[in-house]
Order: sequence, then structure tokens, then C-alpha cells
Amino acid sequence: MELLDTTATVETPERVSFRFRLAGPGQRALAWAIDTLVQVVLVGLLLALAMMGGIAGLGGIGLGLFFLGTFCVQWLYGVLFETLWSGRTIGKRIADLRVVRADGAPARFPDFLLRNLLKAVDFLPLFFGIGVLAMTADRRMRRIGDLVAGTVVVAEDKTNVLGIVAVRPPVTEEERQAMPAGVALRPDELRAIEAFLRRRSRLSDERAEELARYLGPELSRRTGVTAPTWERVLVLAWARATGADRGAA
Amino acid sequence: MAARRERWDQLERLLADGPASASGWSELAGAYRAICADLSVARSAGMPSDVQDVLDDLAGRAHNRLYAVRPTGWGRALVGDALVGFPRELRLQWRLFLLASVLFYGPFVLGAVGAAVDPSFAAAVLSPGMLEQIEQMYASDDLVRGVGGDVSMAGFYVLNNVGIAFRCFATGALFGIGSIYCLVYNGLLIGTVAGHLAGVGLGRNLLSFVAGHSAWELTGVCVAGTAGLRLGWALVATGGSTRAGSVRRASGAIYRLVLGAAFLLLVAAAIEGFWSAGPAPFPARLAFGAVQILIVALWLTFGGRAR
Repeated sequence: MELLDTTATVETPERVSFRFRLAGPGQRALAWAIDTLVQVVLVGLLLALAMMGGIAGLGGIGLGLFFLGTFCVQWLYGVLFETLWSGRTIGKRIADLRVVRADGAPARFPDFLLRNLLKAVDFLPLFFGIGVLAMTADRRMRRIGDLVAGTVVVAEDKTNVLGIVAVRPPVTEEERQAMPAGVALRPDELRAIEAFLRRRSRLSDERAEELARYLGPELSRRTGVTAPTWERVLVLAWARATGADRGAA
Repeated sequence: MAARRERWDQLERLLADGPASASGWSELAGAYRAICADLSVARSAGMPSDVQDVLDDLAGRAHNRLYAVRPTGWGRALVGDALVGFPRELRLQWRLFLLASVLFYGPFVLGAVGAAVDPSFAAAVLSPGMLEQIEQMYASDDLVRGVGGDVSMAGFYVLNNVGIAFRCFATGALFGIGSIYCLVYNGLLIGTVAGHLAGVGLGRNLLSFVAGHSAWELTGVCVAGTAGLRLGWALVATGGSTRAGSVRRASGAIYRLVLGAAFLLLVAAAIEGFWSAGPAPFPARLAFGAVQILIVALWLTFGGRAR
């Protein structure tokens, strides 16, 4: 039922499916920025080493190793780290992202090789133009490298349990009496109302009413719950459906 | 709920710090199974979405951690793929390899003949500055550079040529058009250089230098182009599935071709840096080059065939 959600569902060998949160372009850009910084630093170190080698009279060897090292940093940095750290580079580690296979299984070297080499085409024409285009078009926000390698980038950041969703102001006795005995809401409706209530403090009263109007009238007609505002209709319906109206006022 | 909360916190701690020991790992496995059960319960009981999200997140991270083992013997698998799996795959994709070769060698011949016959042709393809630089590079037939020079040049060629080949492959994602362009362009470029040098009388020097590694390098570029064409083809002719599905089916083949191209170019760079810039006399270099052509041809034709 998630139409605009940024999650992907995965069926595991344990026969439980859970949802991965997909990494958005912002997070991926952050990881990429950190990785690029690291790569610049590495090339700088190699340059310093090469110059020291030049001073020490090793000249050609130092330069050759510098070229080789720069090549490795440019093309193989991602492959190396993602293979060793099971899907994470330094930047991804800091941004709490991980590369996994699209079916949730861990990705392996062939996947990392392909997806990193194809960064060359994702980078065209200007600064990941094609990559961003692909991420916009694909439901799981994959760039061309991910599509070919069959991988997906997931976010592993920790969420906090916010506690039970509260009903404010609490359900009054009159409201309780006025409501029908049984109110049945679909699971997705329950989730929608919960999501609404969790964000209620950030919304103005007019905006909250505007949002409530999407579901309120239909819900009222179907369940028979009435209230002065549509927002209150949603709250009451949810409270009755989940039994929260019987709790402490 | 409180007891469960405790278990989730414990899992959180396990994921954050370790697990450090064998017992830690079995603890993690047990906690993972428990949380999968909790997740099912939470879903069917219709618990608030934020609780479900936390469980999803914990289960996902535990899943990734548990299954994130480094596969054993991956080095052997890699070498096997490159030496055996790759030639087999190339023979399977022989049509695309043929196409890539034509796209490369056709303009190569064109450029070589054009530049050798008409002096202004080379100037049209390359800038005069570049021409001068190339002429300087091959001006003398004494290419001895000493040990330092060897490693330096090998490194530079790896950086330059493998990068070009990787781009030849990657741009295949543009429905193959990028690879076609890359092959044609580089073929023309290299051919023009060769023809021009021959035209100004430096042909022998060039041949002396490139004979040793050309077989590996030019084949490597063509194979990279083949991989790009395979990718492009998967995008164009999906055979009834989605583009993503078609590409996914081809990804094994593409991987083996890319690996093969990388290997070919690596060998070419090593030869280029260490042998080609060495002191061997001209006849020896030609002989060596001929042997390389033979080795490459035999390996690609017979490598990985069942006896």
C-alpha cells in the first residue's frame, strides 16, 4: 500500500519480509562527497610519496607507482572497499548506507566491479546527470551502475521509537458516547492517520484541516463518526478503532 | 512489551559493537530470529507504524550483518573467471566481438591509409601539436630508458589505456552508442597516428615499440567494446522482459567480458612498460610480437574448452 514510499520489501530465507529503506539522492551525494574527498587525499599522499621518491633519486619508479596508484584510486577505490566491507565505502559508512543486492542478499565482487566501472557513464554528461536521471526514473532509486549490477543502496540509519501516538485533546465522554460502537479502519488508513498525528505538531491548524479533508469525509460517511472538524473525525475514528479512547484521558 | 524492548536494545548493542566472538555471533543469530518473530507479530497486530519501522530497521541491519560474510576462495574464483570463464564467454558473444573488431579496425585501416597517403589527413584528425609530440616520442630508435623509466611508463600506460577501455565499456549503457563511438574514435586515432608516422619515415620505430604489446592491448580494447555492446544490446533487445531484467540476465556475461578486458590490458601495460621500452634488437621484437599474437589467439580460441 506504500505508493510514495522509499522502501523496498525483501523476502528473506527466514520467511519474514521486511522493508529496506532506500537511500535517497541526498544521502548518496553525501557519501559520494566524502569518498571523493578521501580519494583526493589519497592521490595527494601518492604525489607526496612520488616527490619524495624523486628527491631520493628513485625518480622513474616513484612516478610509475604514482600513475598506478592514481589509477587504482580513481577506478578501484569503490570496488576495493565495497568488497572488503560488504558493501560500504568510507563515505557510505559515515552516511550509514550499504550496497546490497536487489533481493536483500549481500552483494559480491562482480556486482561491485560492474557498478563502480559504470560510474563512468553515470557521471555523464555533467556531474552525474545520467545517474540522477536513472535514479529518478527507477522505483528503487538505482543509477545505471546499480541496474546493471543488480544492486540497491539502502539506508541503515537508526530510527527512534517515538512512543505511542497521543490523542490531544483527549477523547471526552460526550464524544465517546456519540461514536458508533464499532469503527473498522483498514491498516493503511490507520498508518496514515498515525503518520498524520506524529507530524501534527509541525503543522498549522489550517494545514492540518486541509490534509484531514482528504480522508475525513469518506471516513465519516463510512463509519458514522462525526465531529466539528475533519481532523477530529480522523482522531476519533482512530482512537475508537485502536481502543485508545478507552485509555486514560 | 517491556521485555521485548529489552531484547531489541540488546540487539542494538550487539550490532553497534560487534559481535566480537563466536558466542556473540550465535547471540546475534538468536536475536535476529526473535526479532523476525516480533516483526510478524507487530504487523499482524497492527502496532503503530513507528514501532514497525524500528523493527524493520533492526531486522534489516541484523540481516545484513549476519549474511555479510566474505566469500572464501574469492581469489581463486576471480582468476578462474578471468582465465577460463572469459574466453568461453567471448566465444559465446562472437558476433558482438566481431562487430566491435570491425568498428575498431575499420577506422584504424582508414586512418592509417589516409594518413600515410595524404599528409594533411593526420592534421585534420589530430592537432599539429599532438602530431609533433608523437613524432618526438618515436624520433629515435633507441628506446632504452633504464629501470626507473620502465616502471614509470608502465604505470602511465595502465592509467591511460585501461581507463579508455573502461569508458568504452561503460558508455555502452547508452544503448551501445557510446561504445560504438568509442571504438570508432580510438580506432581512427590510433590508425592515423600509425599511418602518419609511417608517412614521415618513423614507421620502423613505431613498430619496434608496439609489436610486443599490440596483440594484448588492441584485443583488450575490442573486448571492452564488446562488453559495452552486450550491455547496449541488452537494453535494446530485451526479449520480452523489462530493460532492467534484461540487463540483469546479461550481467554475468558482461562481468566476464569486463574482467577479461582488464586482464588483457594489464598484461599489455606490463609488456609495454617493461619489454617494449627495453633494449632488445628489432628482429627479436618482431618475433616476440608475433609470439604474443599467437598466445592471445590460442588462449581466446581454446581457453576453457572442455577436453
